Amino acid sequence: MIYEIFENEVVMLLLGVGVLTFILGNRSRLKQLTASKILIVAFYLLLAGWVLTVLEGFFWEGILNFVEHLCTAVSSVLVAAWCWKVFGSSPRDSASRRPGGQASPSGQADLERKEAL
Amino acid sequence: MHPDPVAAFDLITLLASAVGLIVMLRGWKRALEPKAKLVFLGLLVFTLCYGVCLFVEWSWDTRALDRIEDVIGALLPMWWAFVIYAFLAGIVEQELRERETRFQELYDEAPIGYHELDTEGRITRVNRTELDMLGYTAEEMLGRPVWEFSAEKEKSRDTVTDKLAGDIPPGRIFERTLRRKDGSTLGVLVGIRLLRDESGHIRGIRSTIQDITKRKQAEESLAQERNLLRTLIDNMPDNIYVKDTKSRFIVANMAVARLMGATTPNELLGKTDFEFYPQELAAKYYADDQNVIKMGQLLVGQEEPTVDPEGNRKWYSTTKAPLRDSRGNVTGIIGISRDITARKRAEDDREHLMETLALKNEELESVLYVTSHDLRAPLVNIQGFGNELSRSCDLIHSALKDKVKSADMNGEVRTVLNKDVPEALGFILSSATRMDSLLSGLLRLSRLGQAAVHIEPLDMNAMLTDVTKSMEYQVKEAGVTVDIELLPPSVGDASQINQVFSNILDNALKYLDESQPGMIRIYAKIEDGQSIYCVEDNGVGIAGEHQSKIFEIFHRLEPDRKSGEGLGLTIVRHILDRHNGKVWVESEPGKGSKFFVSLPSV
Repeated sequence: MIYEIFENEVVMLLLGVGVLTFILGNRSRLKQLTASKILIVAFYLLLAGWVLTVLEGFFWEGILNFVEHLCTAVSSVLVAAWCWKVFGSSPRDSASRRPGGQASPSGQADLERKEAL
Repeated sequence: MHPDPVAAFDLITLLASAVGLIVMLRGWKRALEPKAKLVFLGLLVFTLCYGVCLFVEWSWDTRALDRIEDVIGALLPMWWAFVIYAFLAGIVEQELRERETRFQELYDEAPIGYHELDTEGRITRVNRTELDMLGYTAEEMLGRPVWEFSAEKEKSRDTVTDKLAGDIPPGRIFERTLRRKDGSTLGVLVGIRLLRDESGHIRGIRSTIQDITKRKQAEESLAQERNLLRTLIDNMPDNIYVKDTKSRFIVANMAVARLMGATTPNELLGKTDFEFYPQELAAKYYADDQNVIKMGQLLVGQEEPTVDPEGNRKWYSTTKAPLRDSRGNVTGIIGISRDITARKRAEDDREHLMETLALKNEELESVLYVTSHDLRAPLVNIQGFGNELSRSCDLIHSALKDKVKSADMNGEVRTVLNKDVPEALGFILSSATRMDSLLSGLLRLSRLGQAAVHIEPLDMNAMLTDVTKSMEYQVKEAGVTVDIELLPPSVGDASQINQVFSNILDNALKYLDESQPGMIRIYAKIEDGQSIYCVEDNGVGIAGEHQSKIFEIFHRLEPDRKSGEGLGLTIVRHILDRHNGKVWVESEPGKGSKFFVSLPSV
């Protein structure tokens, strides 16, 4: 069995883990971002892709490669969705998309603050 | 190019990144701060490039873009780190801005004024409350020495200078007067705190300004009220004092001081009654005080003796009320006592007089009884012997008539026997009869005064029916209609009240108006716990000048025309006096009379 490890992939993974640590350390503050969950899940998927890139060198190359590209694609879609959420709609539209169709006063304040970011 | 699902995913990556990029560029102004936007834009570009590399690599199975893909692949996580950092920086900055805003709001909307001074005493910061207090704008105040806004400039400058020099201990508060923009003044409390830099050097002063205008007004009002109360207390002729729970004086007025032999009220403060009064009296006062404190109830108008510094015995009417704090706990008593010595003496004098009067009355009634009783015996003799003399005269007259010729009888003797003697005897007998009648009346009156009164509930309907029945003959003779309405009961002595109504009805029958059919109506009402009965007739009536006299003894309206002793209404009044009742008359000549009798109701 031949194990194939690429340096750039390992570097990418290590840097990704570093970013993950950074994100986890500032989790509560990042929650203030509009639709922060979408962006963070996008990063997690990207990180999963990087993990799979390294792992495919050891086993199940075909499957893991397939899943890696899938993760990257879904991550990109989520980033695009986040862009749509933040730049593609006005705050009023965002509020109207809340459950019940109307933003609560405190929710509205949070939303405005997030929009300001 | 060959179809491969992986290539499809890469195409999706590519397209999604492109869409994200387009959306972001279209809505560039909508969100995020410029720095964060640029960093995020970079991320999208990297992702797009990464997607392109992957797509090319898998679609055309070429390694041409490997190098670029490796570089981008390494930069991508780093760029994510930049993105996260940029976002976090934005968030932190936003938080700081919010905190600053919140602080500024609190600073401006604080209920007290704030300002900060530099080391020269110039204002460097001032809040909205202080600006509103003084009527200036921030621009008008900033940069100017703080004492320019004070009504006591020198004082204010000295305070600032001393504080900056460290001569004023921390926590000290000053009362100052500031001048508003419109020239009016404002009383304030100023608190000063030194501001120091990191190295501990004084860099200025922060002051708090508290408007005390209302407090000052309240203090003045309170002082006025206190002064008013003090003046009132000091100048009241009554004794006014306040004691604590141990009966020690905490407030006293001049009257109390005088009574207790002190020069000023202050001499009494902190002392008790035991230091001024005899032991027995002080113990009684102490017990009363403690009872009021313990029960928390008012003691009203208690009459108690006391002794003044000269040893004179005096009487006071004392009212003691519990003094309570804001929670309702009794913290002492408030006492007011009034000198009632003169009243007490007057009461004693009156009692003595009443006793004397009662004694004299008894004596008088006794004399009346004896007089009326004992005078009747010689009167009976006069009447008897007068009659005897009259008969003797008749005998002499008839004897002489037969034996002596008229011509022989001296004319003078004849006049004496035929005219003078019978006439004199007639006068003697009628006077004796009249005197007998008067003495009978007096005797009845005196007996009435001595008779016992048996108070009992009276059925006035039955009583008036009985009275009318007993006078049925006179009523029929006079042709009078008597109408008795439903009467309320009362209390009294049955026989005596019967006498009252008999006398009034007798009077009504006696003084009927002969020109019209007589009518007597008896009715009643209850007023203030008294049953008031009215006997109304349509008789001749009583002239105003007689109305007050008809109850006097032996007073008669028509002595020549009507019989009687003039005692009926006197007896009525006498009986009602003994029953705590009253009798009065309302009458008009020619229109009849109304006799009112008031008796205690059941």
